[in-house]
Amino acid sequence: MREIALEARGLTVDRGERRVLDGVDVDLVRGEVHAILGPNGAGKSTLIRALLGLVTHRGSVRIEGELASRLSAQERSARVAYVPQRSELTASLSVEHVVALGRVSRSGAFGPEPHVDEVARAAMERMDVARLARRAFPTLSFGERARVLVARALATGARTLLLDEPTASLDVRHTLELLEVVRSLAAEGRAVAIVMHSLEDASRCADVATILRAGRVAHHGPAHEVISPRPVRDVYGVELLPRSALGFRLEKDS
Amino acid sequence: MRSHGVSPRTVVATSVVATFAVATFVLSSRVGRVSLDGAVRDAALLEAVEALRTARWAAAFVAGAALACAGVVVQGLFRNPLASPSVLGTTAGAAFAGQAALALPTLLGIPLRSDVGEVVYPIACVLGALGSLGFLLLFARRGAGRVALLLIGFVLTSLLGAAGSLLLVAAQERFELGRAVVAYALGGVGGTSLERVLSVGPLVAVGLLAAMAWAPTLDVLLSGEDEAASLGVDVRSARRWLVTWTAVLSGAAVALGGQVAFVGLLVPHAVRLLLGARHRALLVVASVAGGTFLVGCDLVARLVPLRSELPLGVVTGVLGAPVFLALLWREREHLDA
Repeated sequence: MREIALEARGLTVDRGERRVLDGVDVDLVRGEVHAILGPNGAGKSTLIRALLGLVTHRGSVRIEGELASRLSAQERSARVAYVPQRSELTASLSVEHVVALGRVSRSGAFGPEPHVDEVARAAMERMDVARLARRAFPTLSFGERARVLVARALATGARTLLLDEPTASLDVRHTLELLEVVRSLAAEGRAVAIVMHSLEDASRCADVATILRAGRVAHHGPAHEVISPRPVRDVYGVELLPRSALGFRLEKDS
Repeated sequence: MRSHGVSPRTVVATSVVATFAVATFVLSSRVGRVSLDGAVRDAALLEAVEALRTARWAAAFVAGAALACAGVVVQGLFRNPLASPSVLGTTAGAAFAGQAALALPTLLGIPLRSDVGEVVYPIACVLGALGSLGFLLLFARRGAGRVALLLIGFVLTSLLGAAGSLLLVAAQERFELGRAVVAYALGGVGGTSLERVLSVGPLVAVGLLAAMAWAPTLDVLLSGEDEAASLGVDVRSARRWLVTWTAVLSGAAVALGGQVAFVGLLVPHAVRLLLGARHRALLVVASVAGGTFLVGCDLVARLVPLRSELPLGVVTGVLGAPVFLALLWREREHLDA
């Protein structure tokens, strides 16, 4: 049975005179990767920010059945985690501390919650960044930073993950590795929404896809139906070739 | 793994800073314009000089600790390495309010009893710092960049300095009042007493403890407000509280030592070079280092061979201004962020 982790109805966001999101409905389901697609300026990142309550919006967001507006910031962060495209962190905090900050809302006034180090360690090992634990975050490559940010999201313990273009700065290898992690996170029962530009990557990892156009849902459904010639032509004005000229896969023994 | 333990680097840095603190205490007790080595034979006079020097050391240490701690907080809160209570106009707000609380009752013919004054002046300084920061925050919330924030601080400092000068002109006819008003602007711990340190000290202690409690939030805020909010930080509430504790610390420091510039800029940067950006260790070590630094500056102020003692604010200004310019140069590419 499909278990809805996050349900948004009629999400509308205005920026000055301009409507950047217009009555968008989204369901994020446990065990599924939901790709949010669309051309530049379609409202993909705004949708993620509205789901997180980071922008003023109309419409409702329910997280695990409860209205998000009734949840405190701490309660919300324990249920929904966010991975930004790029962190604004430029200060020399160590990787282990950045990941442990995923638990910051659970720490007391003069000390962290018990076992925070173990939780952070597990998240770092899950994302294969434990070897970087002592490194300062700004000294990492973009690929490493992306993995650390996912580790921080995992450390929150949230079962819904919202990723905003996490592959934007990654090379092909790091992209494939991250998408594999995303698939495995969904397989463990998490609901994952991922904003993407690459239709090829989306078709590789998503179960469900929503294409936005000018702030509205243009197409929604199973990924293989949405990422198909007609919707792609309709939204992007390009022809989707039956087979990609280039294709990649990870070498399993590397 | 040790994301929350005390690192060896923190232990070493704390030990080094604590050693310097003890050394400055010893120096501050023994060094001054009057030599205590046999020259003063009157026991009562000797005791009075020693008490004065101890009070000076304590006042400078507590004020320096408060300013350095406030500097760490505002740099984290505004994500601006050039921020400090003096650069943002916070100490100017505190100094003006202190000057007003000192001068206005006398000028209006209702002078405060000295024991009432000891309570009123620190409170006025804290409120002045709060008002100044509140004004700054109004602009910062509208997305002011790093340069804009500094410019608003500059305008606030100029405006409040001008208002303080107006009070000074009015107070000049009464010599002692005029001196006291000037002391707020120039900075110094020459005329302090242990009683004043004990009355202001609790404010600083509360401010330091509160800042420590907010250290993890300051760490998260380094990633920006969106990331902090997504990690469960109530950003609006955090801003309000952090501004409040900055005002308490800056106001208390000004009540003790007047307007002393750049301590909150210089010391956090120096300690950050040693310890990195984590706020819990940074706040502790920067506070001790700030206290030590200001005691050192007070020693310089006392020992420069001039007819009258050099104001403390002049010493910190001479040391701090080049560092500020160096930081400005280093950050020039990120100033619009």
